[in-house]
Amino acid sequence: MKTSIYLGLILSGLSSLTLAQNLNPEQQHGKQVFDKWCAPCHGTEVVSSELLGMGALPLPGTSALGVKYKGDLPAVLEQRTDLQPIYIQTVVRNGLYGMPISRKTEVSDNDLDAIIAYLTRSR
Amino acid sequence: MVLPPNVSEAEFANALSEFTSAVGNDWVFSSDEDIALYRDSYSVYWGEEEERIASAAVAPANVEQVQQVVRIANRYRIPIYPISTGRNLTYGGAAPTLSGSVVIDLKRMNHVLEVDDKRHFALVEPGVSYFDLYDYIHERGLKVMLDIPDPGWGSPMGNSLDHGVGYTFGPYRDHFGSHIGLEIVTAEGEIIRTGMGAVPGSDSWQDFHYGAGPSIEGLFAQSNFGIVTKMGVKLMPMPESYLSGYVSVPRYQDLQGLIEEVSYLEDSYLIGMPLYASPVGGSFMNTTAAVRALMENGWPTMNQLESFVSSEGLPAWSVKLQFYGPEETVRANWTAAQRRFAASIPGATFEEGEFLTLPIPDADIPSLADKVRFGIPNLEIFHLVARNPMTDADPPDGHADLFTMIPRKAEAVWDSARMMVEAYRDFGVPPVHSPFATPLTYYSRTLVMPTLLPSWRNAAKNKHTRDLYMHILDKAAENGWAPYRTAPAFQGHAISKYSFNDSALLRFQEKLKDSIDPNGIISPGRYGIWPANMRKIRG
Repeated sequence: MKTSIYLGLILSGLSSLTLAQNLNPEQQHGKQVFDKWCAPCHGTEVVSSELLGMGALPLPGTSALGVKYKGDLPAVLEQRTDLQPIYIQTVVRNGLYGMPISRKTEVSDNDLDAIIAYLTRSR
Repeated sequence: MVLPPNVSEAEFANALSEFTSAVGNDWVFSSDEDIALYRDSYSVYWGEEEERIASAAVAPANVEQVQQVVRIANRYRIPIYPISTGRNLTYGGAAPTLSGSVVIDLKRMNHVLEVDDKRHFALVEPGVSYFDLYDYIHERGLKVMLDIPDPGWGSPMGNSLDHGVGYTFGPYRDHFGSHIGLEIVTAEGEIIRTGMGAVPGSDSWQDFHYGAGPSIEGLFAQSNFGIVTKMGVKLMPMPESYLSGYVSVPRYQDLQGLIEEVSYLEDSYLIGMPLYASPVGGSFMNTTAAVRALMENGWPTMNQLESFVSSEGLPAWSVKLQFYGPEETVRANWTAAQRRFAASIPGATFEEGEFLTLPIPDADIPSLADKVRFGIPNLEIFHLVARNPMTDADPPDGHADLFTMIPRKAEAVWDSARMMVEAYRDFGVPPVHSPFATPLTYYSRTLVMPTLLPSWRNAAKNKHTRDLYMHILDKAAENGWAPYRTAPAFQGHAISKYSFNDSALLRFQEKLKDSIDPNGIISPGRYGIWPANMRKIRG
């Protein structure tokens, strides 16, 4: 059991290393911006909260997309291969449901282009 | 395009040109598309005429540029509305209080100027987020712990200046109360430093907040007297450990004894934030079917409540106590707390919770529950508004929070819960509160009876939310209760409840406003304070 968890950690570490090496500079920038501005809601962690009376759930954005897509599409944005640039831009600049608008002093147009390049890269 | 009030299109074009000279072409936003980014995502007036819309936004990079921008605005009599990170969601976001204002977006001023982990303070600019300050401290291994509000992308400055709150140890949870030293740009473009910051060459700006003479810092919170450009933050030394423990009490009427003992521990600085719950009543805003049935024929009598509690076989109330400090003292404090509860409340029971060594190891942080307990910024509170199986058919677009401040007495908890239930029922809405609703404890010396109403990008549904919100404000005020903070849409109404002696407090604030900001350019209308030339807008 312990061995398989350890192996899993190594494998996931290797795959993210490979991923980083395969990104072009704009996509790498996009991943950095994604990690700062998007991942706190759309990341892969599972959390619980005694304050909210809540058992283990994925992060809020991932959890919401899981409810929305019901397994038809991945709930984790970084696993999606169908995202269109205009859709990403619209959601970042307009917000969607509880997700608020992001301004250009936070996520610049250049940052947004990089997020789009990262999430829509060919895989 | 929205124009500032009483400013012609030609004058506004000239002002924008001067703003551009001050901050650079990239940092004046005046296209419709860019201005839309300064809408309040959670506005209860979304898409309606009353929605607060900026006329432009200007993003200075430093204090000198802030001074220039203020002087230009003063010359053209253009109202301006400073924001720090613009993430004050449910309290207005990045949108101004008055439509047509130019938002002064301070996000680019994002330097952590100093963190001292021997004298335990930070000095920050407006655009520094809790994420930024945490990263700065964490990367350097500094031995201090933040106290943070729920969303980590907010700023220490913005949160403090809106009387925001956190989750750790009493004095630190009051964020404005734990600021130390402000730098302010006045409406005329002059720089003031408060406290020891007023002494040239002083090295104790973040050590002693009074200096000498009257304190003026409070004027710059929830107000419109100047633009704060630097702020000191008192920080807690990183505690060695954390211990939690649960106290449960059997009877409905034991709530009073429970509150009294918790207040003793809080006011003696022996515990961090206490968290009240009702094991028999279900979680907050999710009452059990049995409790709903109990409420079917009106508010239950005390006898009915006690019978219900004993028949369900669960404790009526519990509190989670949180201790921060060396292991020897947190364990001793937990022992002393148990002795006190056992002596004053017959049948009280105890359960030890978690013991953790601080700081939390990096590998344990991602899955750590309630990171706010340890000042680790995150966005997990958005679970409150995120689409979930219950809202899947019609997810809300935001929420409007109403936190009613009540005294630390069981009677006030029960009466305020009953007021909430009756207010919801007046509107034909199923109540979310019950006789077992428990208060929040953000401020250590007051309780909060909260409610969260959904906001929408839909006018009809928002009207319903607004009407219910105003109705609760009215009913609360009939009992002498009022909120500590609210969105611009409700600020005038909320402040009207602070009306002692013909609103002498507000009249005094407006006298100051007229003197300090004679052209009334800074955030007109914020928290009900209008400059003389716009006072007719009120109401």
